[in-house]
Amino acid sequence: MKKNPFTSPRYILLLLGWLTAFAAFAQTRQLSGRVTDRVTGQGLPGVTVLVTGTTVGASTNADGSFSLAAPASATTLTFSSIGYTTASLPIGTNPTFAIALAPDQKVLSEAVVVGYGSQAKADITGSVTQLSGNVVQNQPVQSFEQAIQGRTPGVVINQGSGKLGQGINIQVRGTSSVTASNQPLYVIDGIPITSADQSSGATTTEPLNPLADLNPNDIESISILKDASASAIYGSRASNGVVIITTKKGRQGETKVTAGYYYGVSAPTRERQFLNASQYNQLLGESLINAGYSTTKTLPGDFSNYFGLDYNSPYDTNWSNQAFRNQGHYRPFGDAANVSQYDFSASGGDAKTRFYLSGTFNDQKGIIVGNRFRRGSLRLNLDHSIRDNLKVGINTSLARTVNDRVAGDNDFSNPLQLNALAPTQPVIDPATGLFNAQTIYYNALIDQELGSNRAGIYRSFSSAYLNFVPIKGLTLRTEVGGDFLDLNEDLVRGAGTQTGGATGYAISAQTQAVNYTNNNTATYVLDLGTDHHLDVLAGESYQRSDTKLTSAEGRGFPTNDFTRVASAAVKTSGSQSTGTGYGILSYFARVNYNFQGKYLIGGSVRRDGSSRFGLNTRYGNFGAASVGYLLSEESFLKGNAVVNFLKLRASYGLTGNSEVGNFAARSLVGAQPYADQSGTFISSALGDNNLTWENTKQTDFGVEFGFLQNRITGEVDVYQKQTDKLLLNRQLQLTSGFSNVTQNVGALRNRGLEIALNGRILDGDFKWNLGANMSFNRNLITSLTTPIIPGGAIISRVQQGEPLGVFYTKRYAGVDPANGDALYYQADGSKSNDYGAAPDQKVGNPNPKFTGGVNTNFSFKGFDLSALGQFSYGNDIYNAAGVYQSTGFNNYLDNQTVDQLNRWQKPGDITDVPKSSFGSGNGIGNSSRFIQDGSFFRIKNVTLGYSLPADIANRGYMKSVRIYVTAQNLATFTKYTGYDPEVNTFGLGDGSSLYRNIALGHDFYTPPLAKTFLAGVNVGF
Amino acid sequence: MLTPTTTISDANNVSRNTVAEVYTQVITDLTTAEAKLPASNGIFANKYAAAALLARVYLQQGNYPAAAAAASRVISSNRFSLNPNYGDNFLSSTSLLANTQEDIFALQFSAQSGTNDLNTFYSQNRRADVEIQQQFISLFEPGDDRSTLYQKVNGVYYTNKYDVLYGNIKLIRLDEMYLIRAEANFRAGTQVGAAPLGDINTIRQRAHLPALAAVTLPAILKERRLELAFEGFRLGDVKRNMESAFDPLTNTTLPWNSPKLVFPIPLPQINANPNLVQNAGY
Repeated sequence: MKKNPFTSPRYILLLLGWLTAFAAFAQTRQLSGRVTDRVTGQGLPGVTVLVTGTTVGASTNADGSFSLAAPASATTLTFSSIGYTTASLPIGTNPTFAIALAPDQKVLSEAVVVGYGSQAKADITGSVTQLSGNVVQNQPVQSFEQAIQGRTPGVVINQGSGKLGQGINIQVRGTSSVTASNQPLYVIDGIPITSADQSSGATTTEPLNPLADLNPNDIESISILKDASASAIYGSRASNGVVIITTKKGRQGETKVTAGYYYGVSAPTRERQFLNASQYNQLLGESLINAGYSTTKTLPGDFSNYFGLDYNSPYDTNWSNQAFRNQGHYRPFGDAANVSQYDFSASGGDAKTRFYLSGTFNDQKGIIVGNRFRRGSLRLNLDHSIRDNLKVGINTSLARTVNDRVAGDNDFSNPLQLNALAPTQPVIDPATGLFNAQTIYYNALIDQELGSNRAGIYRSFSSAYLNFVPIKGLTLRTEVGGDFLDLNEDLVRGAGTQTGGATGYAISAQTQAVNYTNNNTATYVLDLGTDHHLDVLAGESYQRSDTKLTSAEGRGFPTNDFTRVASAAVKTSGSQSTGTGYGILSYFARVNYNFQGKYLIGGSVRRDGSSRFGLNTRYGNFGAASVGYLLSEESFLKGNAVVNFLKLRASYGLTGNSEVGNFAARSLVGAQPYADQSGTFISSALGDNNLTWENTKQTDFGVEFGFLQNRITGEVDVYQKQTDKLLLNRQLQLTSGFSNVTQNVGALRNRGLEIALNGRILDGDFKWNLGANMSFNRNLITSLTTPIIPGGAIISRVQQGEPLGVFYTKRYAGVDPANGDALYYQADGSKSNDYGAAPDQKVGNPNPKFTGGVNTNFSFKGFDLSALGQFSYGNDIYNAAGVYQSTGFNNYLDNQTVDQLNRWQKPGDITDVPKSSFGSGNGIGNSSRFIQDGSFFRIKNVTLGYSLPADIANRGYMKSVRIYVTAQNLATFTKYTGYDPEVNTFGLGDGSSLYRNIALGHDFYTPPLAKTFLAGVNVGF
Repeated sequence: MLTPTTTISDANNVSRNTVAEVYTQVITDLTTAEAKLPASNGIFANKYAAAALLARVYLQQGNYPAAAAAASRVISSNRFSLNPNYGDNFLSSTSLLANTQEDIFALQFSAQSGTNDLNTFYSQNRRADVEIQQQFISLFEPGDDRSTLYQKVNGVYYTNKYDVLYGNIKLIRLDEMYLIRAEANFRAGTQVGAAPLGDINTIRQRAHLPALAAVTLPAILKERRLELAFEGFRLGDVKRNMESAFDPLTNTTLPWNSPKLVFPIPLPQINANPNLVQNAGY
């Protein structure tokens, strides 16, 4: 930066006066023209057009046009815009100009958002993945993470199920915690937000996703900080990675207005095949005969006497399809799964004030009956320059989200559990004309008719800042932010539903989570000569979070028209109010030094104090150091025809994780009224005054490169994350009087490799880009005194020497051809039908060997085509529902998957499906029988768009028009025979983070994702 | 034996005691409690609740004279009396079920204290998981008032004992004391408080059944089984009387000492305390 003598207001006034005076009598010349993007051919708004060597200029409007009055002495015009190479044109006799700017292929000058600031990509010594907001816009998703799957090396995103707005599992470089949360820290516009589920647990134990309250169309960029060098500035909350979201800002120039609409239809990615009525009767009959209950002759009577089933039923109900809207079929309109979105935005401003405002309404009717997600959101981001060196601004949003939810997976009300019902029973009871209540298990459709389960949210992410530059290079910034979350959950289960019983049930829960943050930072940038560049940051931050819950619960309603608790005869124990909270105080600093743009050194430290930890260990220090070396700036590589860019970097640092309960360090006394008398009890959880952060030491080596005019660019990283002092919820001897204690015990390690490659293959009129990324992560529990075994339907465990969540159960050995018994491997390797004697052993691993994605973009004239693929390889899935649905009636009456028809029937049959013998228990225990390879490749997104030529658009008073069609989850290639290989049930266990972290890759009547086809239009004015 | 603690150390890795040691401790605790508790103590356990539990423990232990004496102390206190109808112990026209004159100790529930999971699993209005076999229903004599608590819905019997959603859970009732005293006296050949025949006829009379002329041990045990069915007594009685249990679903008979009639020690507990040894059969 050159020193400008005219920075004081007095000089500026003088200068302005002088310019005005000059303009009054000097000869000027009117110039105009249009600036376009050389790649897309579209008009470029906001380009600065300057008369070279002067301050006379203009900026282009939304379609790229400009006009300005140039002094007669002007000889050239300079065109510049962020992200494009700067170009100049001589001023000849022609007063109109047409110029196409080329996108800046030095993506390396791109600014990357990091903690408390931004850095040029070339100067970064840490591992950061930054994505443009474009990739998450106008996608049929509820939250942005769903749209970046397959684009994020080192970050594995698992949606878990097709339930709308449901919690999502994200792992940045593996799982760093066993009991505490292992989800990343989310920061929006500098403010850490509430990203953990806030639902009361009263309506379902499964999590809501608080990020679904953020409109993806408002996102300018997403930055994922992966290594310690990048993330350690967030200290005690950085071990799981940090996701920084920046929302859109207004830019100086003509006001840019956009409006968009899309509409699409959805259906499940896949449905499962269960027995039809005649197959059901045949196999159930055979199993009853085999078990000695019946003979062929007595079957009809036994069906009815034992189970109330009609052997000669005229019905053949496909219950499994009943779980889905319109039986899982596409239908353009009406009561089928569909999605639509209306959005509007306006942005612009002048030298003093810039603004971005937007409004979006999104309505998604999910594929599962009763599931619907609606979000209306408004945002206003405003920046104002009070003076040249003093800026203020606010970023504020308000969203209203209404989620009609689906029952938990492990709930008879879960529509997916309908697949267990007998196909010989009708959906509608012909006697009553109502949903059949005589089914062998609860008919979850009754819940749809006589109940509702709605979560309504008001959410505001808001922040304000003051930015002051007292002297050149020094920036003082203070920001305050609030994340306000107000969640109302209403569950109504009328009389006649399972939960409602004879008189009906309702609960209404109100949660208020408020998260305040105040950040104060000072940044100093210093250039000493041309060789030394120094960038220093120091700051302080305070965050406080308070959560309150009030709920009212009642039973006994006069009729099902009464749904409010006020009408309930009895107000029951769910009527209560609770509150909790925590606070974090932090000090931090960072230094980046750069010598000759070649040698880079960075360091950061942070000191955090958290109310969550023990009296003795409340404060902790974190930090990282890193180095980078730009080989391509050395004389021997500079100007090399092949290698344009080559950077080596390395980092090491210490980060923490504090995501345990707010009071995990304390021994607590609780109030427990009994028989209307107050009383207290000692909590069964023991405190620990030395409880402190989980520590992760991370080492990272990376190389970034660009070859052949940067037509091939890429980044490769290897890392090792060693986590010790695990925040472990350790089981205690119940004989001690306590059930558990949270302590810092145990250690684990993640090692991995990430590769990202991008190529511009064709770069003429026809453009073709191809990108791919691949990540390998190996997780290992290096120290754990006692294994953690959740038990029940969960076969994952945590055990020293194995990766987190490794599958441990009996190993299935097929079927004895002699008698049809299920066999299991015994300790000595022999096969036996003695299930109990077979040892639990390692039979699978839910962690993928590698994951990744490929993406490609084509464009030609006004057409653009993009495709995104996502893959996961080597991960196993345990179908925990298999013990009910794939055991040939050896368990109970549940309808069976069609593969059960291959059962053993007579001596000598070779099959892996055991003999069917009703209630015999043959083959029904947890075993490797229900484990399958969950590898998949998914065509995640294909979009074809067409932009109308500008002259046609202009005729309709529009600047630009783009129409597009998108297919989401178009095709999935997998060997998994369940609904969808991207599965991770939240329904097993008690819903705590312990179970969420451990029970990986379990399927339990979990709904599949949606396949969606949509068409949309975006218009610019 | 266990002592209260606020810290966890290796000392907490206790080993299993012998059956005799556990009986000694339980009987010491209950005897102390009976001596110290007041005769009247509101909704909390009183002297007679301790005596009643002691009677139950002595019966299980096979100390019949002590069992008869403890049960008799409760009966002769005259603080409790049988309800006119057996169903009064379980049925209610509201979602609440109060204590009755027959209750010696009951867990107090209300709509504000959370739901009763027995209701979730037993009640035909709820999940109705517990289906009752015909072999049990057939045990009732015609006219037994207690059989009205078992109703057939869609071909399957369910018990109505836990139909009251927020009902108190009746842990110890007076009818059990009569049954303990009858059995213990019969086995010991004594007549502490009353003769076994009299106590059994007291129970039968309340069930609207004719009085017996003479009593046998099987008759006493059958009365006990029917009176206290689905209240958590059967397993202890099977073991105590060295009976076998027949499982019609798997067509197998389990002897009283089958390892399948003993729950395993939960694996997390064995992991937490290496001195615990798993039960046989697991």
